[in-house]
Amino acid sequence: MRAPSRDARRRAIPPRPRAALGARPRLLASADSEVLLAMIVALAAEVHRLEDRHDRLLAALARDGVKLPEEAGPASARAPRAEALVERVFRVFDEMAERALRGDDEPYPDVVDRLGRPEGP
Amino acid sequence: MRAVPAGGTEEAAAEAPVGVAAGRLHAAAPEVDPEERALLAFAVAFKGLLRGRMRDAVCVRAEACVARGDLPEEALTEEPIYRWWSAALRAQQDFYVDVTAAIVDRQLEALAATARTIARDPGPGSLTLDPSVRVPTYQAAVDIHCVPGSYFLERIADDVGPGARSELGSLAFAMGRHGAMNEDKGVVAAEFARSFAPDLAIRRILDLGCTIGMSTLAWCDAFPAAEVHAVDVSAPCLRYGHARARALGRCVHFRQADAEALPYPDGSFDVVASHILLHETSRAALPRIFAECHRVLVPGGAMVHVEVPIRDLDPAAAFLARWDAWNNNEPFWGHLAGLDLAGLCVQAGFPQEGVVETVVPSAHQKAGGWLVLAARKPA
Ligand SMILES: C[S@@+](CC[C@H](N)C(=O)[O-])C[C@H]1O[C@@H](n2cnc3c(N)ncnc32)[C@H](O)[C@@H]1O
Repeated sequence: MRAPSRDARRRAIPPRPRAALGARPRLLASADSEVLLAMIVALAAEVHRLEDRHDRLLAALARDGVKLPEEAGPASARAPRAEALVERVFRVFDEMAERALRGDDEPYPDVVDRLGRPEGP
Repeated sequence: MRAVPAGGTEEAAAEAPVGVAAGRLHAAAPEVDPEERALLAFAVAFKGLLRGRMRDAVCVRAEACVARGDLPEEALTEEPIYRWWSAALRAQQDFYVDVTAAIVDRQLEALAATARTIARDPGPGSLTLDPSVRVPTYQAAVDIHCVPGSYFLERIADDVGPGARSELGSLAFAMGRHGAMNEDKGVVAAEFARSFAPDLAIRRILDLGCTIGMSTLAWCDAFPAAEVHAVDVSAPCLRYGHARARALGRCVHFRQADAEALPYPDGSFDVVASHILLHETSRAALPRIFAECHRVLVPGGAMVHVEVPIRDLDPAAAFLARWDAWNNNEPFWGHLAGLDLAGLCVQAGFPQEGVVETVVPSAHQKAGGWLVLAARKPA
């Protein structure tokens, strides 16, 4: 009898569970938004994975003495790349943090109103 | 401990602020390919954002709530910054847990086979499993830290999956700040024991709730002449821990046992330690664990528990410290902060004068240090 293929053996392992035991907390106003956030986080990670692969490829070519055209871009350090990507994708979090640290801004209609008054600034 | 993980190259270690380098940490460890490492690097960078300015902003808002006399638990949940910070933290947690689980999953059988081979070959230390040991209810109620299957998932013979995942997960969680092999708690506890009981000849040490022995190995290094024992209720973590200890050349006697009912005679150890075990137990379990510590210690022996520093914080910081209790499946964490731990030690037979509770700095870069609860059995 032939030994079971690697695939067949893999199939014999029950799949790993994906849902931790314990009810999920509701953190955003809508649970649907939390699902979307999870997808965005995963997608951003995929972007970084590809960025990193690109860097590794360029680095390998450079190591092999291939002269890369300038348009290929720099094979820059990796960790700062992940941080830069996070900063760009989640820029809105930084904005939120800055606003929260600054305190409440004057409501915009009040500013509009103030500027239209003859006795205003 | 070595700055460069065994098997990892200098170059890999140098480029690993992530805590996890591409390659293998040691002979029993899962292999992490460069693509997987990139995913972990992303998870760490994302956590960096959430621990930085966003957390500062949440902290400021929590302080404002407290100053107004509002309960942050109620008032802050209305604030977008808090809601998004919480949701993103939870998403980050779920993400890195999934990535580390997938890394282990693709090589599960190979990891089990390696651990089996390492365990069969002659080598230091031992592994004693006892299938009659039950998972305590407080561990079974929810999957701690939102890890599906927790420490106990067993899908193949001699499964080591939860142990292997735990090593990768802990390194990514700590973002490399708890040492190259996540040994910080053990280093801190061993140093503390030395100064807490300078007259004690430390020949036999027991680590409770050792998981895969990340802290245990620090005791081997601190007391190379001592016999080091470690117990946990999780068989897959112990299998992995035993293989890992041997792969890293350390001698530990691992045993599957419940810290509430230890299988050792009275007076067996000079030191009994634990590292972040207590907050994963329960109000009812703590007195039984302390009583067992007292029983298995020699007269004059020392008990040293290292915990997350969640006590004596100002109300805003305490609110943030409780975040895990409410949102990250750590159901006893919040209760632990309010308990009279010294009182429980006294109830277990330790003299009041000798009980110490203090926060000590990390041996690496963990912010906030560790809470140490220590006591000595009368000589
Ligand atoms: C947070 S982990 C400990 C981490 C580990 N000490 C370290 O420093 O890396 C908690 C561990 O305690 C174990 N545990 C929980 N309750 C236990 C009990 N009553 N007896 C023995 N182990 C227990 C769990 O299985 C888990 O492995």
